[in-house]
Amino acid sequence: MNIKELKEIIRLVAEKEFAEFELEQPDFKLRIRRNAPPSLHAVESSAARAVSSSPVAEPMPAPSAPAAPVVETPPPLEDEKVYHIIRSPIVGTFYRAPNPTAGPFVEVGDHVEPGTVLCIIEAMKLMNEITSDIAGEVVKIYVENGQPVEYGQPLFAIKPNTRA
Amino acid sequence: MREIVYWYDSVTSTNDVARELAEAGAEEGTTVVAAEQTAGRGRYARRWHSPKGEGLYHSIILRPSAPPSRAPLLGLIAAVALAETLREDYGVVADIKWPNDVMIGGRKVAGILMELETEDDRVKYVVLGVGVNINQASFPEEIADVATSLRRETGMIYDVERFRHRLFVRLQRWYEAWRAEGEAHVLERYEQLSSYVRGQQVSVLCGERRVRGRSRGLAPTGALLVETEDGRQEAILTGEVTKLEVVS
Repeated sequence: MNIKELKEIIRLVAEKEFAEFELEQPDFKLRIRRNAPPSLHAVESSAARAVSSSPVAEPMPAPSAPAAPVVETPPPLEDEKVYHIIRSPIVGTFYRAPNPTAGPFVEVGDHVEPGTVLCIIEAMKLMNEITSDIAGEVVKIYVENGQPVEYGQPLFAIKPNTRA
Repeated sequence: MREIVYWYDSVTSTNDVARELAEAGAEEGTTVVAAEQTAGRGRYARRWHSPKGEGLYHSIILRPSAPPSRAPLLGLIAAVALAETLREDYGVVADIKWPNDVMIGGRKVAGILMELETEDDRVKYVVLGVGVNINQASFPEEIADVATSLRRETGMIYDVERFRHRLFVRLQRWYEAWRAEGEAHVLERYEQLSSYVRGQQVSVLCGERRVRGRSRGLAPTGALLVETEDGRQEAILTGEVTKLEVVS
């Protein structure tokens, strides 16, 4: 694939307002992801809407987005410079505990190691245990228990251990 | 996918054993079967009643080369395989309650619980846990109204291992078809086998939120599309669905 083709793909993805786009070929892989799920207001006022309102409506039934009153989580750009951010690998529901009567896996202030379970994301009875990939301290938990989460949404901020 | 089966007399949960095998590199198709589970579980740590020899308790390791966002579809594929096995091999009218409970006469005969492990934003493996009530004559009081078994429906006793193999063959067929051609065909089959997912008045409990409306089929992700009374369409990924009876 050359630069021209790549640009064309990016333009198309932007125009169609896909939340996520993935292309895989034997020798190369491309993934384009929009930063935040477009909010309803943003969509209505965006110029991109006018471009895509051609008769060939995309048969994309609201990809994944449960139109729940999702708490808008701004991408923690500042946090990202300082902390290690754990993001959701799938769209689903966020659970901080293994079951309704158990305590949470972790709290702010807890020390975690690589492999420590932080939470579970569920989608259609598929449970995904999210583990920490570094050692450090949990400094922020961005999502409330039981709330829907989007692909790539920040879940935890971990302050990495500093080497002495 | 090859059928490689490990039989155990008693385990805590077949999902636990399958995860250990998957971590140790077991190939896909590897299946853990137990005559009994001492801590069989359903969604959110609900117990799965697993008396010795009476049901099929098993977990299958899958390794699709797909992004994690596609993995939930595996539960729908398994539900299709289960409903087809019950209908075509055992002659009972099985229904699928979204996302992947298999029902006979409104009672649950089989359930699915999957565990996903990712690595570098890809699926490392999925453990597909499937419990089927086969030869139970009765159930504990707390689930007696909501559970059933193949035996209770037909009055006959069945070979559990034969059921497992028949299910595996159907699962293998749908899984390979999905990998080769994508999800369209399996979702179409799902809609034929489920009375819940199209044109049905439903109520869905999503955590503490309740969504009421008419079901409008499945999104490519397997999400349940529900058109609410104010005309919005919601794509639901997690929730407990009940049918709303029309009172006349």
